[in-house]
Amino acid sequence: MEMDGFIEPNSFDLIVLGTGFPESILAAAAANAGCSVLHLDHQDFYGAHWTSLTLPQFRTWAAAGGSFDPPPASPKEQDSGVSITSSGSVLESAGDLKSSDKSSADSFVDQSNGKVNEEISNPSAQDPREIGLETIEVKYDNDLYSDVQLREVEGADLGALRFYNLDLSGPRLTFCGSHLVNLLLRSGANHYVEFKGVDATYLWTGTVLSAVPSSRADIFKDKSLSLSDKRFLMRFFRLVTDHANGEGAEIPKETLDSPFVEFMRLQNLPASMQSIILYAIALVDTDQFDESSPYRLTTEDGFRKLTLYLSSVGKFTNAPTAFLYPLYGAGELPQAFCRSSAVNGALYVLRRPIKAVLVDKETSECRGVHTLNGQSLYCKKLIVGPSVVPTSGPEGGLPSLAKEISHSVDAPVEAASVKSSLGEAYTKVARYICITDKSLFEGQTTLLVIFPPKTISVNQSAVVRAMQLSNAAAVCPDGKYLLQLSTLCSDAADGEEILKTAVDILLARPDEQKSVTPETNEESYLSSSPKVLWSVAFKQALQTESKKLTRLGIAVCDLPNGALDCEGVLTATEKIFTECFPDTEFFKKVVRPQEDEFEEFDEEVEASAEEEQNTATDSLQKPVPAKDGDSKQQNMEGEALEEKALSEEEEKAKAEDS
Amino acid sequence: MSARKRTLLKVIILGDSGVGKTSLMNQYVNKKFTAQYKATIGADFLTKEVQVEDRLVTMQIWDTAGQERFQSLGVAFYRGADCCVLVYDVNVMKSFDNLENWRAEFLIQASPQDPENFPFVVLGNKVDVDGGNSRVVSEKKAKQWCTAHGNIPYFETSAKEDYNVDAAFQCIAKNALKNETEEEIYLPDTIDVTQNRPTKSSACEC
Repeated sequence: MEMDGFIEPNSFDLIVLGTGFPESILAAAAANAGCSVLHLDHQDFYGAHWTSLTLPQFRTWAAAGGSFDPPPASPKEQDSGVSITSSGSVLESAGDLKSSDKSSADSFVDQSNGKVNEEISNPSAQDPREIGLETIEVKYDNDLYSDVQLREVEGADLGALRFYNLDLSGPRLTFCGSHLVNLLLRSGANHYVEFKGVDATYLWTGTVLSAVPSSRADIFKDKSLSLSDKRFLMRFFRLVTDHANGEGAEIPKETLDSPFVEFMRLQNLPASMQSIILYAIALVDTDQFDESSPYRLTTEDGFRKLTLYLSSVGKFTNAPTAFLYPLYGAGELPQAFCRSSAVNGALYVLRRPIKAVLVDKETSECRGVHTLNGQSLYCKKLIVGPSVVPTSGPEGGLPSLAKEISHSVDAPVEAASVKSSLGEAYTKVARYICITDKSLFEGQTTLLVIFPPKTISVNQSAVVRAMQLSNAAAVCPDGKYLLQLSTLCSDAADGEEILKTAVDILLARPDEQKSVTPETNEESYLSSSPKVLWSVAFKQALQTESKKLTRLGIAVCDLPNGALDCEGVLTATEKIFTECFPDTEFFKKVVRPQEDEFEEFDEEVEASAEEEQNTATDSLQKPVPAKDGDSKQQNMEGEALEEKALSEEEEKAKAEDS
Repeated sequence: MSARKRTLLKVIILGDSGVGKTSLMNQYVNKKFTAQYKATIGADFLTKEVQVEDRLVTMQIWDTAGQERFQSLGVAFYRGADCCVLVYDVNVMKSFDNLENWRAEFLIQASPQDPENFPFVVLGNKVDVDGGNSRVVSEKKAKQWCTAHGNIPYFETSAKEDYNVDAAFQCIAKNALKNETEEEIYLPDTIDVTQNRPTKSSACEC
């Protein structure tokens, strides 16, 4: 067991610190491209800020005010005299989250006690300054979460706690037709994660939760829209599809750059559809009808999102809507990419905090890291998660991320709220998770509810999203449901209150009350509505600027953002990869090493002319490689058929109309 | 990886680096062995159809992909395992001592419903080395450990000589199948992005 031993070799093409979602994708992409990769995390679990926690883990995290417990100083470190002084900041957040794990981790440590002397004399522990490098101490930023409020309900039966997987960065979904699905297929990580399709999407109109049509056919059947509205819509969708395929009349650049909401207005789309397209399909985060907002979606981006949505609907059997959620929680995604990375040869070491980065004195470029247990590890490129912060720099100190964030948050409350009404300066995302005993809608387990801006209160400038999950997504025991909510916010109070109101709306379900059980009196209705059994509310700081360390040539990955989908995260991640490896394709499809290895075996076997009875049937079964082309084609066929059916229906409708 | 059809069994192989986990899998599934040791790179999982009594099941055997080296296997690796194979090298005492830790690690991470009765199988590998003269863990000692941990089935194997490998995996399959009862959360309608092909019916007609 090399649990606490030194890492061999000690030089890599790439070292990645932190196993968050972007970091894990980058490690997998580099390993996929044949780079030697070392992936370290100071925690004893995968996923960093993108992880999913069990209920006991979440309690521990919340009880610590939204941070992971410091790990116990391992006996080895004390014995070997490795300096842990002055690095209190490192230790502080180098957390051992799963307290239950400590026993097993410690017992592994004990095994390596005898190796101490050997390690100290390890040649890789040479003084890095000898080769022209200087060390810049780093700390792990532990102030990203605030206003953590845990509410336990006394006597509540939560079932088996081990079945809970609560996302720290939720709610988050992926489009069926998204780039993420592509990357999963190209990296091979698709073998390590499965998904649950979202059953339905609802939009809160201010008075009712109205089901969002999930396909063009649904829209066509929607009785709330007039036939002329439907025609405008059909024309609109055709316009978007044609534009995506490079067909139809060219749309002028100034139109593409103009706000999408104005374009839809010009296309005579009914206001209700505009709202659905913006908030439930394009998944924008902020008020689009506020003309002073700097965050208005352009027509071009609107087209892109709508095209993505249309290509997502019907892409997978069993996916009733355009959205997927990973089984066992969003924290499975980083792990899937890490395994793919490991399968391609990357080396994985958890519980390995670093103390400093090594910087070339002449070029000021990062050349490696120094671990807390005293090893220097060298690399050509260093990619770090958002919580790794250098405490000083060659030119007298770098601004730390934490400082910048707290600075903007420290702004006077009045100023912040004025800003937020202008749609500016979202510095935090408010998140809320609760466990309930009942589904919001009977018979549906996995639901998305969108509250567009100003539908909850007049000062709500950002979209609120709620996702309901159940044991169908393997995130809680049978009979329990999870609600995850989030919204962008600026000052401390406002996001929290808005989420609270949203939860009240969901649990009261005024529309259900009227339409489903008209005769029931209030009291018996209340007894049948979902009850909150446990809840936690917290805020997470948003990245203000992610290029802090470019001077040292260190790429820094983003914190989880406030978005519902992963598209923005993936774009930023791919950008980092391209900057680090300008000549390398991001997940090019290569023959996986595995296949090579078995060819080698084949040759050996043939050479020795051994027995040949083994048939190929039982041999290595690698699922058929991704057939992106195929599925796209079939999807296009599906669309064409749908298109045809709709046109027919439209004709029929026209005939009826006249 | 976990929403499996009833006939798909997930088996994971744990043990110290270099005890022969990958070799055992390859010998069993591919009937191939290479003496040249490479710390596992590129090994993922292998599948094999197995007849257990009157049932034909598919066994999916998961390698550690090298992530065991610094005890850095994530919880996702352990999810939904039907049987856990613990491997040590009969010539290396430490690899035997660490069985205790690997077992504990599995029970914590996988948190099976009934840890006392979860099926483990222990393999003492590399019995061929030096005609057995270099072995430091006796069969008796290994069997005692297995008995003390709830009568875990024990096999002495040689991936190199293909000794006892089939018998061991037959037992693994049988025990994995026994575990397959109510242990799993039943997960209907899950989506594997590999296998799904678009169908016309999905979203448009409901």
